[in-house]
Amino acid sequence: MAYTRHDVTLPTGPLSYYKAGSGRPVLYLHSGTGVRFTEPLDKLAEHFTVYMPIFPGYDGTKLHAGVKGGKALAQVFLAFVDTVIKEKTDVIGHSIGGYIAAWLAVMAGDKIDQLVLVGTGGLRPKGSPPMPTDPKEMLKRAYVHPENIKPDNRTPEVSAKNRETAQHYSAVFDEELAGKLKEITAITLIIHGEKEGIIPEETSVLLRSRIKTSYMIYLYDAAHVPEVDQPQRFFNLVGDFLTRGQAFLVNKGDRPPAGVPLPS
Amino acid sequence: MQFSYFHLMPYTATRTVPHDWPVSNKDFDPKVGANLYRGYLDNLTLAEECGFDWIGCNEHHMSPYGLMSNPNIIGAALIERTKRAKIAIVGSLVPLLNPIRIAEEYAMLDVMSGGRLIAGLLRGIPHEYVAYNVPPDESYGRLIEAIHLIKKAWTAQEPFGWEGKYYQFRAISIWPKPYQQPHPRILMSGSTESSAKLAAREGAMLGLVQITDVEATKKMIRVYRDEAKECGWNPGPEDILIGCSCLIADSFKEAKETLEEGRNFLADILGGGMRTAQQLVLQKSRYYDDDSKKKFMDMRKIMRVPIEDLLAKKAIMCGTAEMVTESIHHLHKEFGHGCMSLSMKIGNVPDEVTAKSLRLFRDKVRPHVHNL
Repeated sequence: MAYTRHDVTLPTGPLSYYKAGSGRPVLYLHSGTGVRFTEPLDKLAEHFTVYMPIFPGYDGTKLHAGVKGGKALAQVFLAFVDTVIKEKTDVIGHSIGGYIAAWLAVMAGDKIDQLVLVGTGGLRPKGSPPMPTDPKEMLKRAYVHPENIKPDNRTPEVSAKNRETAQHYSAVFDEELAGKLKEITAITLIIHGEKEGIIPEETSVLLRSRIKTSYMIYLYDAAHVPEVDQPQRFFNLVGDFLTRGQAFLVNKGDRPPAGVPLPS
Repeated sequence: MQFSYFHLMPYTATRTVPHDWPVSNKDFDPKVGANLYRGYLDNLTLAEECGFDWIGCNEHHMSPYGLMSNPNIIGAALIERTKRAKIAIVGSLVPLLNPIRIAEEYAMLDVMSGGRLIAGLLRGIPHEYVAYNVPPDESYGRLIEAIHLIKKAWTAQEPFGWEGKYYQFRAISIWPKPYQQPHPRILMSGSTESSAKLAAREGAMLGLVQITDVEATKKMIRVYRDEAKECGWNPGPEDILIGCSCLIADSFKEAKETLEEGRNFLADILGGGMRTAQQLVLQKSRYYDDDSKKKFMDMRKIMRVPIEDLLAKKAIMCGTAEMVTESIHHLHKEFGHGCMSLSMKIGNVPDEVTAKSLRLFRDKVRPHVHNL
């Protein structure tokens, strides 16, 4: 599925985004690495309209003046929903994108339908091992199957700048967000790689314990980037959740729900 | 040294030599079966009275080889009859079963017994895969994934789901949780290098429940210890269980004659049908790597090794209390293990002979070996 690049001007500044597919909208908020075109996202775009904004400051774009931290960036994406998507949307957030997505769900419950948080950042409990800084160690802890990684076309300079920009928005443990998780009304799927080496398990457990209607799923044989480690498994799970909502708990067998195209 | 009493619960009232799999149950007499269960439970209970620290249950299907198709049912019966002994389920054949059911039943046994469960998580022997129609090629992958899932079911602080290769569950929160925290001790088989390494990686006890050769056993212990070290832990003696057949009598002659007859019954009648399926699975699947396959291909030959040869290899205990005591000392010196599993009901060895063997163990063996 081909993603096309678009630009929009929001109250805080210009924003670029990728879009593909048709059907119900899904807003995808990327990880600290930046936009990644993965197999599951391609497949999701066969059933949904996927919007993938580039965080301001990423991939050569400019930071928005006054937008610093997760809460502020979530407000930018709230404006994006109002301006571009213009209807209630599902949201997927990975890593720092999960952190921003959680803020978005706190701030705009009426605009978020279903929420998927994958290896969520910004809620690292005290006493957790620090994030690795050595790139080799980072790679080892982020992937079980690094052989699945597709070549990144970014230059080293752009990648370094992206990592720097991630710090602009991230938090170690956002106390304010942690206190507001109970306000999230969106039905939430929390995905934690069974061999996750970047985000502590306690983070996902905290989300599960505080978000009223939430489901935590361990993805087997996957670490911090389950989309890459286990693309088919990730798609099966997320596709099923976005298609059937809470009913994803019920084994559907081979019977597709009437009138709803199911992920293959 | 901790001692475990192992029992297959064979159906001994048949004389038919089976060649097919599964073994026809037309010879099974339910009234005889009822008496056998009662007698075997009495025998297992006696093991506790005779100083055994663990009582071992195991899972086998569709033949007279063993009547414990669900060892947890026997475990539950034993909990009510015993007070002190650990109930060692060695073990549920994990790839054949629903892992969540294993987690639940083990947690039940652990809570019901006040924390006396030893949780065996095994792959089983090849022919069982025919019984439950599970692809033998998937056995190893299923075992590994299921162990991770079972551990998660025991320890998770919040309800969770699992999206795996073999298992998908969307909502898990088992009641009860295990009595022992974070979970009961896990025992895994280490009869091949890959399984010994897996036991080490999972932080489990190594179980070598039927040794055949001292050097081969030492090699598996070494593999286990090396892998554990790689994973950042050092197994102690209590993490290694060694097992073999054992019969204690007033004289060597008496023990040997009884055991010989029992082993013949085991080889010809109890083990007959399962060998057919075993060889089929070994030939037609990738259940074992090539080296291990060779080792397991001729089960009949293994069961027919003369007792004298097994005694020379220290792979069996047969004789007077003094001889068995010496054998236990010898094996302990060789292996440095902290747990010894003894199987005394071999084939059709009469129950009263097994009971006498247990009492001789209590009176004349255990006092000389329990401090090892």
